[in-house]
Amino acid sequence: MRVATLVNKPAGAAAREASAGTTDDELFSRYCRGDNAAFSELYERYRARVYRYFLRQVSVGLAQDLFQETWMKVIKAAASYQSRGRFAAYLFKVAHNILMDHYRRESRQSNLVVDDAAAVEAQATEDADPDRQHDRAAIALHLQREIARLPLEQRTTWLIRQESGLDLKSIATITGTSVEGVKSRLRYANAKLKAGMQRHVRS
Amino acid sequence: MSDRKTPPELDDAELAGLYRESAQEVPPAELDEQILQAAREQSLRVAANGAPRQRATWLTGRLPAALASAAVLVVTIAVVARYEEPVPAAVEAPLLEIAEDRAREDDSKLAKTAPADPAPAAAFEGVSRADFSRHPLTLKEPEPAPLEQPQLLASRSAERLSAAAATVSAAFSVSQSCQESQQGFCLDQGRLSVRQPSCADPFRLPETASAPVLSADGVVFMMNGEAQRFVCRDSVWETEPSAESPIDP
Repeated sequence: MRVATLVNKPAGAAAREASAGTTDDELFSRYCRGDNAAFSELYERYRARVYRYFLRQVSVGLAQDLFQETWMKVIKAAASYQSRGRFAAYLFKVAHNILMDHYRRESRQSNLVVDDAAAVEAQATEDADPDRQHDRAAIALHLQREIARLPLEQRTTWLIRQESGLDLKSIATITGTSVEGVKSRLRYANAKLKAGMQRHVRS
Repeated sequence: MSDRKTPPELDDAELAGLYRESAQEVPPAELDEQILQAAREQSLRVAANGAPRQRATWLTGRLPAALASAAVLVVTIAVVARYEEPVPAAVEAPLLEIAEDRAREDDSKLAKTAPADPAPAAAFEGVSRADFSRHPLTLKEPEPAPLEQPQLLASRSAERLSAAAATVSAAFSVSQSCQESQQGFCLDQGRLSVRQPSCADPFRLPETASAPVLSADGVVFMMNGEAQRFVCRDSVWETEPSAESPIDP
């Protein structure tokens, strides 16, 4: 199983497509015609990004359920898929709708649980320098907490922007708002996250 | 942390980079396997049943095409219906009067210059009511007819007068014989005439008269561009200029 091979590459969807040589839409069209290898490549491109989109907003177990529900819906929709744009926008639209449906069902906006010890341990395995790895893990943990504190609309918009790399218009379509609304949400979210990181350093 | 910018100096791009650097989570391998297995089963089903049928290109735009066709049809029907509207009676009567006036003016020219013009009916031969409503300002003068023999002029003039009498009969009661008429238009020796009880003889309208209208004691008509009035006084027909024109609106 190939995992996380593209994690540290630029977030832009266009850059991803250019580096792989085959566009997402071409891959999904091939899968719609029965080419399973095309789906494997497409899944590899987006699995971590969609998973983190859920993981930043709900608990780990629920994130896995919603992640699986998203891909199952995409797989079932392949039989009747009509290409109307970029696959990334379609995929995150499905994921966003599933998350919103979950919130409506549960009538709560977030049940995020950040496991401090697990998060620090996960980050520590990536770095050999003990001081540096502690710093990185602490920053990552603090940033995740600040993201979890964002209001729902700002959080979903900011995470879609970071994970999908889509343009503002596509994000506006996904979240059901205007481009100006997306800009406003991103601006407020960035300001709050920066302020949160500043508090972390002072403390 | 010492080699990084401090958080207050972070800009949006650096914040995004910090997030990407810290975001390392991936779904568990079991979950990957479940999803890929479902995708394989779906692709096998597709292979067994054939690829989903793509919608024909022309079907994609059939709704706009149908709407455009309907709009064109409606506009066409509206335009055609407008051109085929019947000429109202209020418009038709003045047109006939104009035709008669022109015919009489032609008669006066004939009497002076001998060349003949086509008959009133011929002047508008082939011109339908729809043509009048369609081209109200572009009615063409009739083409000059070739010269006719002088002996034919009398019979043509009589025909025109009969046509004028027929036109007048549409508005007034015209008897075929002046003996039968007490007061009104009649025909005397083939000419449109007026009979008054106080005058023994009927008054025969001149050939150049047009637009005759009955009054209480005589008749008013147009002749040579002027309104003339003929009244019966003391058993004699007298003429006098009329203050009222019979063709005034």
